[in-house]
Amino acid sequence: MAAPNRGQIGWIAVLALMLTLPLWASGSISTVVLILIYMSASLAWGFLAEYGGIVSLGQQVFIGLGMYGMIIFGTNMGIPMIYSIALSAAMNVALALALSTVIFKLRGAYLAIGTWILAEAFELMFTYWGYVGAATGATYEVAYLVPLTDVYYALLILTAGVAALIYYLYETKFGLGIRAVGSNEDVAKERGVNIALLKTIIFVFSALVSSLVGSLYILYNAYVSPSIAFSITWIVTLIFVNIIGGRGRIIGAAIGSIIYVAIVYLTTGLSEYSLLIEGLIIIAAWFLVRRGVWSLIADRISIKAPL
Amino acid sequence: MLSYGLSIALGIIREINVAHGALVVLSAYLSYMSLSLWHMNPFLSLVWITPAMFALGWMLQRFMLSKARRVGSNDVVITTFAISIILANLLQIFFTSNTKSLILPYDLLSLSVANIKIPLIEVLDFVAGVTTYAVLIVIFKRTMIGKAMRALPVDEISAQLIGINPQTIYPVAMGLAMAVASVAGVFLGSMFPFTPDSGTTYLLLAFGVVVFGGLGNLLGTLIGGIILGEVFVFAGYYIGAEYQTTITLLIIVAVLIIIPRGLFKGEVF
Repeated sequence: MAAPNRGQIGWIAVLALMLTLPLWASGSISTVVLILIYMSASLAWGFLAEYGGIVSLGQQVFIGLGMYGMIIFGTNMGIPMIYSIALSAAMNVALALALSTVIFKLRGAYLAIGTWILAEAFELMFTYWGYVGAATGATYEVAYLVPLTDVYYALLILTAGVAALIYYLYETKFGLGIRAVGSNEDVAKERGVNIALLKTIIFVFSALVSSLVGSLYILYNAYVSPSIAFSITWIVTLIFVNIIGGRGRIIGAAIGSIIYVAIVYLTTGLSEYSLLIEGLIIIAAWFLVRRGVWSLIADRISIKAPL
Repeated sequence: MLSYGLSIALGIIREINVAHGALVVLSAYLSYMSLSLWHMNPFLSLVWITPAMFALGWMLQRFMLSKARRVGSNDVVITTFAISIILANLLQIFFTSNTKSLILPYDLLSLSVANIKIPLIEVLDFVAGVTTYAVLIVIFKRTMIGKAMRALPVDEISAQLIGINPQTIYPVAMGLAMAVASVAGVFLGSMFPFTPDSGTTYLLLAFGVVVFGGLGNLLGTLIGGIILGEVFVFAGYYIGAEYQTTITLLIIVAVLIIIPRGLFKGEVF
């Protein structure tokens, strides 16, 4: 940060603009909600990938369970919305804790494959689970009563919270520890970093954020089916945003999400080619700028990670 | 023991990456294409598919993955994942997402050995599996390039010191893995119907085999393949195809918890 004062003014301005957005741009809220959904989920994924060294291809398990939690607890059991969100999050945290004992036995490609298959298994399971509507999916009726602005503010708080946490953690001892794990696990271990604990904390944290994103997504969309909840598209999105924005970078995630949503809108008529297009962009971006398009610009105007 | 054939075809898949499943499916589709365009016997089509997949694997490693390897293993995951979604999408565009299967002229033939009828395809698969295994063993144990391939993962720097160039060896290894994947793809395609998204199922099987057998142990993967193939087929038969994947995954997870090094004590990965 070359000029901290200017930086602070910038942040306050962005925050003010975002807070008053429903007043002056109510028509675009639905788009901004999507951008925030992708941004917060991408931050959680990038945090896991860049700082934990864990490239998960199964993050949609937590997003999907965040959605289905609302069906299980809200629609089926009639538990009020806020408690349903909390229960879904608790369910995901428990799952992440249980999973962390298994998946940290894997590394690199094996970990990625393991998490990917896990997501696939969850999709199959929910496709045959009649209690949550099987393949046809289910609707969370309460979502129709929630104004879009409320969803927007909840997402804004979530995204800002995650961003602030990443920002302030970066230079702390804990933050240094996790960055060490991300860059070289073996060296970090030798220097006395408790890897198992750190990785578990990061993994659980990103599961928690993903769960909240999922629960808020269903307030926006109201409907969920196994192919929406556990779709591979989620992970493509998260990778896309992180490759464009630079892994685990806050402003990068915002820019990446905006570009992603723009591309989705531009290619609405070509949805059957969407994975092809996004995949090609990911490869092209990776070849051109390994550390993300945003990192390149950020270096020029001397904005440092994790921003 | 109907699934022996499948098991062994799987057992040979050793070098796996995230795009492996998609590349196995690609071979199945290439074979389907030569079947429907030129009425070529799927096994005969391996004559051109195997070299083609070898070339594809070689190019992938040479021009892309070797670069990604130097940056870090996470980059390998991301790029191969991007490749697999591109492939799945391309296959969907060219062949639609309808289920396809490779129909063989001698599909219904079967051999009877001591009153037990075994479909010919299973026998062929078994033979092909064992043959591929034998060929791999010869390559790894007897040829210079095979020895180099075994030396590199053990100690890359020492291997380089004695004149092994990773830049030439890794692409060959990847090509070899893809050539084996093409055999697996055609055999899996002739036994089970497939869609552009079948890659994940193949990936699950290949992954499970490696976990079972222990990494870098050819015999281990062979036996791991047999066990997992049995599990997969029996789960599908007795419990239902919809839970096949979940059950297989659960068993893999159980193995990971109980014996993380696999049945044959490979390296921990």
